[in-house]
Amino acid sequence: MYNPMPVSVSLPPASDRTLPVVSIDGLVSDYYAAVYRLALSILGNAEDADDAAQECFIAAARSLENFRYEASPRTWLFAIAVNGCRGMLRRRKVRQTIHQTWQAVQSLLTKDRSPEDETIHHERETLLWDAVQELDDKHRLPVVLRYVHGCPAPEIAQILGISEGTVHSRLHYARHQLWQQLHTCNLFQMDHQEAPQ
Amino acid sequence: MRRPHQRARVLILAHQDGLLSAAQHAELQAHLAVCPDCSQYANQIGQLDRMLTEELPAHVPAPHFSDAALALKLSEIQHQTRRNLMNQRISQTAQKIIWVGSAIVLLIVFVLAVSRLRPQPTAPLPVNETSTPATTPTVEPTAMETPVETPVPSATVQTGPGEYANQEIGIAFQYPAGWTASSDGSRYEGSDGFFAVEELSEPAISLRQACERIANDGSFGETPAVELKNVEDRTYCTILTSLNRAEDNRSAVVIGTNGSETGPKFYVVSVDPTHLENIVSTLSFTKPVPTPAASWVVSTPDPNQPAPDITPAVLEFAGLTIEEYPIVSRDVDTPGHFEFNDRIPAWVFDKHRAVREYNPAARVEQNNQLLEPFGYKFVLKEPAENLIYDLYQSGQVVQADVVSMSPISISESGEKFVLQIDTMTGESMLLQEDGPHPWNPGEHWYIPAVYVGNDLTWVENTSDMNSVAIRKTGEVVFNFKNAGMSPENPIKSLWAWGERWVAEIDGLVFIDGELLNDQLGASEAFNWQMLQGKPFFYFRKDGKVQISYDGEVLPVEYDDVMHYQCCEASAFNPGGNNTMAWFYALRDNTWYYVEIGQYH
Repeated sequence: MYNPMPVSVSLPPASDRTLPVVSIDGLVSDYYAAVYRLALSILGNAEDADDAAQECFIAAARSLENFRYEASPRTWLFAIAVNGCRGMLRRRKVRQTIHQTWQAVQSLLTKDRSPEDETIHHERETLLWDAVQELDDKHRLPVVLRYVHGCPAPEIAQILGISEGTVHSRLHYARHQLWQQLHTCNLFQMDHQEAPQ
Repeated sequence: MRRPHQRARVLILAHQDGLLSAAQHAELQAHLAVCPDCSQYANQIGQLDRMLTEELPAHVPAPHFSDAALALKLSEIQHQTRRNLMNQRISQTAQKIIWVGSAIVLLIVFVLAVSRLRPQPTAPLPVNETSTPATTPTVEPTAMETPVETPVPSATVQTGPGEYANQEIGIAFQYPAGWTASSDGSRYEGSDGFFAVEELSEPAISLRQACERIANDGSFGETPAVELKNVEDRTYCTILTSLNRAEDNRSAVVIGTNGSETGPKFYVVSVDPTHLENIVSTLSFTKPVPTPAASWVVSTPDPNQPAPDITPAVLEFAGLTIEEYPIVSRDVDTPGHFEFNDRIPAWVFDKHRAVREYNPAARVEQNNQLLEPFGYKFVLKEPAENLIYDLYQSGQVVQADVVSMSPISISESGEKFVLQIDTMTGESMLLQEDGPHPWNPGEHWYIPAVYVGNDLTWVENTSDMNSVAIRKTGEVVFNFKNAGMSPENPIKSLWAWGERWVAEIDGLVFIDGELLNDQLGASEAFNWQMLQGKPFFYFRKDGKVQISYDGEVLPVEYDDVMHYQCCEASAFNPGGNNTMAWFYALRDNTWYYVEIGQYH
C-alpha cells in the first residue's frame, strides 16, 4: 500500500532565488507602525496593541527562516498579528463578557440621551465606528482590514486564511448589517440619490 | 421581501466589490430604474461605502515611531526572541539532572557548614522541642473530582486563617476566611466555594502540554478558555469552563513545580470560578527562582581546523541500520546554528545523501506514475531549472504553473486520490480524480488531506485558530481544543496508517483519537512517521528519549533529541522520509549525529 507523506514539502518558487533576504531589523523598521495600527484597530487599546505588535514580531523572528515570499511581508505579518489579536480578544472576552455588555448598554443609553452634545460629523463618525465595533469578529475583521488598512480582498483572504469568496460574502453581510443599524439612525442623506453606475 | 428585490440587494452589495458581470449589471440597472426602494438601498450602500472609506481610518490614526523608538522595539524583540530560543533549548532532562545534582551539592555543603559552625550540645535536646510538625498525613485523601489527578497533601502547611502554602509546589495564596481544610489538607471549602490541590498523574513535558491535556479532559466544555500567565518570572495557566457549560462550572490553575514551565511535576488547583480571581491575584511563589546551572553553549568551529576524525557506532536492529557519529561535547557547542554542521565531516553527510535529500524531480515522477491511471500528468515547463509544472489531463492543461505538490495519497480501493498542489500565484488546490478543488491551507493548519482507508480525511482549524478538528468524509471525528497557545502550528502532521489516522499535536500522538502517550506512559511522543511502511517515532519516558519502530523499541537511548526547534541547524530536526530518519541527539554530555534507515 502506498504510504502518503502528509507534510507538504514545497519546491521553492524559482523567483525565490532572486528575492532579497528578509531580516527582522528590516521588518520592524518597515512594518512595526502598520502592525501596531492594525492591532490597535482590532483591540482598541494602545497597551494591548503594543503587546500584540511585539508578539507578532517575536513570532515572525522565530519563523523567519521559513518565510518564502508566498505572501508579501506585510500580509504575512498581518496574518500573524490578526491571529495574535484573536487570541487576545478571546481571552479578554471570557473575562469581560459581563463588563462589556454593561458598557455597551451604558453606551447605547448615553447615545440615546445626549446626541446633541456632539457635532453632526463627529456623531456620524462615532456611530459608524461603534456600529463596526458591534459586528462580530468574523465580519468586523474584513471591514477593518478593508477600510482602515486598505487591504484588497485577495490580501484579506490571505491574512484571515479564508477564500476570497468568503471575504466578499463577509463584507457583503457586514455592509448590510451596518446599513440596517445606521439606517435607523437616519444617518444617510436622503436627497442625494445615486444609483450604481 | 419578494425575490426580485432580494436578488437586487445581493447584486447591489456585490457591485461595491466590482464583482458584477455585464449582464448582472444590466439586470440591476433595469431593476433600479423601476424600484425606488432598491434604488434608495443602492444609494445608501454607496454612501456607506464612502463613509467607511473616508471616515473609518480617522478613528485609528497612523502612529509615528521615531527611529529611536523602533530601535528600542527591535532590541526588545530580539531580546525576547533570544530568550524564547534559549528557553526552548534547555532540555527538561538536563535541567532535572543539574537541579538534582545542585541540590545534593548544596545540601552537602549546608550540612557540612552547619556541623562545623554549631557548637556540640552537651546533652541531646528533647526531640519534641526541635522537630517540625508531622507533614505526612495519616488519613487517606478524600475522593477528588477527576481520577487522573492525585491529591497533594503531604507538604502542605496551613500558615494561618485564609492563607494556603504548599512547600512541595512552592506556592502560597489566600482563600476566604472561614473555609475549612479537609483532613489531609488537599481541599478547602466553605459555604460559597472551594479549592482542591492535586498532582497531575499523567506525564507532561511542559506546562503548556499539561494545560492542554487538562483543558481537553472533557470537564471544561467545548471551548474552555486557557491562558498562560506570568508572575515573578514564573509561569502558570488558568482554565475556565466554556460559557455554554455554565451549569457545570469549573475552573483551574495549573502550575509546575516552583512555577517552572518544565515541571518536572505539574499540579492542578481546582477552584470554583467565583474564587479563581482571588487565588490568582494573591498567588506567590515561595522559593527563589532556580538559576539554570547550564545553558546551551554555542560556538563556531575554527574553519582552519579539520573536522575531527569520528568513528560511528553501527548497530543493526529490526532491519534498520543505526549509525551514531559522536560530534562534540555539550560544553563546547549545541546544534541550533548552521555552523554546527561544519563539525560534521563531509563524508558523513555524503554517505546517505542520495537517500536522505529531498528530490523534487523524483517526487513529481513518483506522483506521475501514480496519477497515470487517473489520466493526469505533471509536465515540466521550460526553462527546466525553474521546476514549474503544468498539470495535463487528456492533452489539456487543467492547472498551469504548479510549483509544489504533496505526495499523492490513494484510497484503499485505488479509485480515488488526493494531493495538494500550489501554484506560482500562491493559490493552493486539492487535486482529486475529478479535478482541482479550492483549498485554503490556512484553514487546515497547513496539513494536506489524506485518504485513510477509503475516507478522505483532513484537518480543520476554528476561526479563532484555537482548535484542531479532524474530519473523515466531512464528519468531525476528533477535536482538540485550545491548541492555539503559541504562534507555532500545534498540529505537526496527519498520517494514514492503514485504516487508522495518526495526528501529532504538540508532543501528543493520537491514533484514531487514542492517546499513544498514555499507552506508553510517555511524557512526550514526537515526529511520528512511516518508515518503509511501518510506524517510526520518538518518545520520552522516565526522562530518556527512546525510539519505536514497528512496535519495537530500538536499543538506543538519549538524554534529548532536538525537535520542535525553530532555527537553523535544528529547524528540521529530526528529519525523515520513507527510507530513513536523521537527527541530533544528546547522550552523556555528547552530541551525536544519528542516521537510522533501511537501505537494502
